[in-house]
Amino acid sequence: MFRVKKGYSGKVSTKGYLGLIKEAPQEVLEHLFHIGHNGVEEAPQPKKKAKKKVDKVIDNKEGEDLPKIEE
Amino acid sequence: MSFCLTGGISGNCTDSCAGGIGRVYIAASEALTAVTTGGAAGEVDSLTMSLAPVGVFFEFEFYQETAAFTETLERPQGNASVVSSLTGTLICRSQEKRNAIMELASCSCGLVVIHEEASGKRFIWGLTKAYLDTLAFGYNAQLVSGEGVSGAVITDNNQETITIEAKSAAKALELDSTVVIPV
Repeated sequence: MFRVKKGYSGKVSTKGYLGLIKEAPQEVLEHLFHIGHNGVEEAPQPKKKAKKKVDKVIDNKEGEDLPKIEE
Repeated sequence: MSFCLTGGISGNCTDSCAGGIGRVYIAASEALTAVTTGGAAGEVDSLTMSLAPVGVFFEFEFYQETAAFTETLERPQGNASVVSSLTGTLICRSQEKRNAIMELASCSCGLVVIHEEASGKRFIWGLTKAYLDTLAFGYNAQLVSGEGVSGAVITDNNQETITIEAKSAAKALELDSTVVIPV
C-alpha cells in the first residue's frame, strides 16, 4: 500500500490519470513511488491488535479431590 | 564503474518524420511542482501541478507552419550548454493577444513549455532541479522577444511573433505518451 506524504498536495498526471494526487488510485500511487515521486511513500503496515489478556483459570489438579470442609 | 556510453542508435527503414510544431502548452514556473522521469527510456512520465492556486498549462495556437523548435547544444570547454528555443506566430493582432504576450513577459520567474512536434512526440523544457533532483542544471524558459507587425500592403502579414528560450545543461525531455497535459 502506498500513500501521499503528509502536507503534499497537487494535481498529478501520469499513466492516463489526471486528478488530485490524494485521490489517485493505488496503482497510480504505486507507479509514482517506483519512479521516485517525492510526494509518495509506502504506507506502514497496520498494527496487529493486541490480544486481550485472559486470566488463567486455575484448575484443581486432575484426580485430586477438593479438600473436605470440616464439619 | 560504468561506461559513459552504453548504447548506439539503429537506423529504421520506416523512419520518416514530418517537420513542424503542432500544439504548444505553456505554464508559469510555479504552476508545476514536480516531474518524474520513469519512462522506459527516461521520458517524463508524471507531472504534478500546484493545487492552490491551481496550476495548469495554457495552449497557444500558432498559425500553421510558423512555429519551430530549435535546440542548440554547444560544448566549447567540455561543458554542454543547450539552448532550447521556440518561435511562433499568432496571426491578426488584437488586445487579447497583446495581453497574453504581456503576461508571458511578466513571468520573470520563468515558464515551462511543452510542445508537440509533427512526428507526434511531445517534449517538455524549461525544467529546473526544483522539479526533479536528478535533472541536469537548467533555467526556466523565458519570453526573449516579440515582434508585432501591421504589414504595409494587403498581402502583408498582420501578426505577432514571439520567441521563448530556455538554457540548460541537457536537452529537452520527451513527455511519455501516458501523460495527460493538465490544461
